[in-house]
Amino acid sequence: MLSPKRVRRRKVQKGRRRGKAYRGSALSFGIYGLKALECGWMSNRQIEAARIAINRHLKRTGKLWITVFPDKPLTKKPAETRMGKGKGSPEAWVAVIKPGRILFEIDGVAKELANQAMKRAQYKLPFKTQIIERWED
Amino acid sequence: MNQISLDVQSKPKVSKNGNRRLRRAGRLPAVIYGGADAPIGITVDSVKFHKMLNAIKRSTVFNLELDGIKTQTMIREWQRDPVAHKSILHIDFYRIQADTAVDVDVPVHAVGIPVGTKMGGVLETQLRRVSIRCLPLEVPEAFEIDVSALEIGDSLHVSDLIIPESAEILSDKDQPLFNVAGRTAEEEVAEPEEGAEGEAAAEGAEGAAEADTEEAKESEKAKS
Repeated sequence: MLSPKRVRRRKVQKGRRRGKAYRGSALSFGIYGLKALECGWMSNRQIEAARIAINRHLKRTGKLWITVFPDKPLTKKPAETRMGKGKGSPEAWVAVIKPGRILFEIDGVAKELANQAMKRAQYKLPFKTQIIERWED
Repeated sequence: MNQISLDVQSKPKVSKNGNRRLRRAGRLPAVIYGGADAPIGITVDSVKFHKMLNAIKRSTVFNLELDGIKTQTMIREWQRDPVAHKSILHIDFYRIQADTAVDVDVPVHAVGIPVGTKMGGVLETQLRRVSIRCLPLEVPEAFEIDVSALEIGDSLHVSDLIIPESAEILSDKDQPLFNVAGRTAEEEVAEPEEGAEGEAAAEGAEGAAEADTEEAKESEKAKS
């Protein structure tokens, strides 16, 4: 699963997700893409699940790009622990997603196959997404 | 030149909210610039412009009719909405002069199915647009290049494009346009199954994370 090799801060604050994704909102590599329509956190497990779903459907044809990276650590306190005694230990990595962000890009396959593959990935994600196609060329 | 013409209206100098009101009313804010004349703020009918986009390319020259005066323009730039797909917020039209060369990006399209893809390769697009300098009325809508002879490992470069004599390529001629990437039979055998790959990667990542935390603890101890 994707995770940073080393980080400056082991634990970070939660933060707020405001505004739209002005960066990373256009297709850069592929012809088809999956665009987030809502904000949310996308964990490295969800990225991996979506990647596997797409690759299994494409059957190793075409090319897939993951255009997000989970660089934010999430902490969790152990079960049945009283409040206090400091912040919990890092448990997961998430990517902060804002509306408009491109998550995956696909190239080298037919439109129908790309749509079917990304439909499978949509089921793995915790927010609404849209399958888009490059149109400016 | 394309015979398409688009009616536009002049726009009073408006604020950000004024532009939002325009968009809600079905008109897109835009600007015409280029040449010796001063830039003019205009508005364009949103539905008509989106319909026109189906008929033209970004490098097509067409007429803009403002107060009965026709101006030859081409689309230089546009701002997209980051969330709504295919939604345009603002357009820059570039006023052209027939005898002055312009710098434009022309899309490159692959024609045919490469031989290498039948042997398990994947056609990869490295460059989708090529910058050229030519007279505005001679700008091609797109370059087409035949990729059917490409085998695994082969590539086509900008220098392989057939361009009009009047045009000059501004992009690096050694840049690759298309290549067919693929794995040899030995590589495929060596690579593990999808699920196993994912699990192995997950274990590796967890191991790395644990190592990181241990290192961090050690460094904290050292500091204290």
